[in-house]
Amino acid sequence: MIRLEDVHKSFGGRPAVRAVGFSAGDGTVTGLLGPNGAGKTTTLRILGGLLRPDRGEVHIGGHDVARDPRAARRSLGLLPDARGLHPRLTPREHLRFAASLYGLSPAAADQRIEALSVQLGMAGIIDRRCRGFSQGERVKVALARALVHDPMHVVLDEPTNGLDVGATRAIRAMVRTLKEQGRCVVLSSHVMQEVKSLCSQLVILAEGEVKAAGTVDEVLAQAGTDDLEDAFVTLAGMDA
Amino acid sequence: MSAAPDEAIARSSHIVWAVFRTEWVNALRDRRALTSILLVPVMGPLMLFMMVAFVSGIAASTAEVDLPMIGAERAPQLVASLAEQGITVTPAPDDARARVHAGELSLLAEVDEAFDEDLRAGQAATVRVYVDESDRRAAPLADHVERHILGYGARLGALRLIARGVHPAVGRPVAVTVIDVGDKGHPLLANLLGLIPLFLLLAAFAGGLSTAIDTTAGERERQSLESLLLTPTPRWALAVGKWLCTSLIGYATVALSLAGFFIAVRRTDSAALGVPLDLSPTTVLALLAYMLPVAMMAAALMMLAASFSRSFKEAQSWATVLIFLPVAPGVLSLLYGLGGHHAATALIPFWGPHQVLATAVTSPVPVTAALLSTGVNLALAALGVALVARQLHKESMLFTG
Repeated sequence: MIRLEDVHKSFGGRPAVRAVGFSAGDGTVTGLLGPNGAGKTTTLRILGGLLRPDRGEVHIGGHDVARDPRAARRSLGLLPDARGLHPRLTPREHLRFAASLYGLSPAAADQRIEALSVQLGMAGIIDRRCRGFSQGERVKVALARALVHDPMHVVLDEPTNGLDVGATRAIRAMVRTLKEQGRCVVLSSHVMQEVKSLCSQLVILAEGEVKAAGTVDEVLAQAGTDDLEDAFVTLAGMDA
Repeated sequence: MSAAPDEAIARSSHIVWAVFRTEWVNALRDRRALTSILLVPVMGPLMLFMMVAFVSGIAASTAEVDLPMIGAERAPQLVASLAEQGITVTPAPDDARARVHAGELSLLAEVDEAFDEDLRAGQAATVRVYVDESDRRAAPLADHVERHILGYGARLGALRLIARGVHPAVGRPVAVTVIDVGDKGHPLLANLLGLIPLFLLLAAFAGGLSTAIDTTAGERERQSLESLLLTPTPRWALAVGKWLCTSLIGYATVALSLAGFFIAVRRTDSAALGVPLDLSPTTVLALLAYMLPVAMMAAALMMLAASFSRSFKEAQSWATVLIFLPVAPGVLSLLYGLGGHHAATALIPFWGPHQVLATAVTSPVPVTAALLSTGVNLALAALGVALVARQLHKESMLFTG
């Protein structure tokens, strides 16, 4: 369970998120929807404890991110907007390094890397250096890195952004598996079709504020339409 | 749910080790880092060899000089006198003066047309020596030739005075005798060993430069820092792991440089130079031990400078400026021969390392100064790493644009 309460954050006096609050339950995929600049990445960075909110609280699996960031991070796997990889290291080296930072034993790490490699279809690249990887390959490595410690809470920042069909399908299959395993998944996106097929809960963010939240049906009802894209445009105030 | 202190320490050291190991693999695959690790250690000894060759070249060339001379036939006694001093007069080519001006001929003497006449008349007879004083090879030769021509003149003058019944000392009311108390021979040779401190300090900084930037600003630039900061790790442990790796890369460069100098000094025929050019294994080991904290300080300060930058290039310009700090005292003392050290001045950051190293290569290792300076180096290293760790806590580290 991930819970945000009345979270505020400004940069140099300019508010980036205002009074953001929502909760994401276990066994569900919660979609965080918003236009560019809505505050999605800022919200996710606050979730990961990378940015300290000016006000408000964030709880991950019962751990207060501000008070006990390490306990919160242990149960959180976050795929950041920046998929940054070391060009001179292989995916396997990335994953072993991440695993050791999460305190996994080498044997447990190797087992986990093997499983992720199969699940994400990375067998062909696992021992190649990351320089020159395609966007899809980079996202797979970054996602595997975020999941290497088998976290209960998974937060993905636009995971399929810029990917081809094959990579997109692999990522979506992964999200469904995580959901079936009863994990708490939060996914930011602006691809309506993806949100519709993966998410049961929605949070619509615009101008740093939560404009609507609830099940897909609740959000559609609030906007008075049966088309998600129309609902999004209306609720995000983009129809003006 | 906080772990027992022992367990927390074990976990932290595990993280430091994991970061170190990964950065180490990364650095060894970095062509930029490898180039400086391998290039810097070659440059110092190579320069030493070149300076030795240059100095012994001068020594050899002043022993036997060929002097093209116009009008040698007008001064046969001068020619004979010069020949006794190892200066062989050769006939000058036709266009000798033009060739000297064009730089094709480095040295030329010309006996004045009226040389013999003036000599007989008891007037000053003239010999002109043509040389480009900025030519570092020819200038000392010209001095050498000039000295011997004047010597010939002085002997002639003394003979004239004696012929007139005057004691030659009357014509020399002041006599100057220079007593050379130096045992280092040619002044350039004193600086030969001065190259060693200069290049060791350069190695500590230049060797670790690329790694220092890659582990900080580079991590920011390629946006891999964010996922590192998302791990449940204390930031100081990340900083320490990166710092240890950078220190070791710098230290490896130092060790290779020192080995290079040791070999270069051993291979130099110092007897031929007339100078004790020596680097004992004990001195080498002492230098090696002293340089470890220096490399650690260098790594911490370069990482700190680079952590303020958002890109590799930006960091490079800052850290390159930093390299001049430890090198500056070495360059100054090569140029001006700064000396007269006290143990207390070893406490001055950047000056201390140069002072200790410069003393150690020529004299016994200055133990007190070395210990004081090591304390300063370790303190600077600790301060640097602490500030790098503090940098990692800053939210602005996430932003690259």
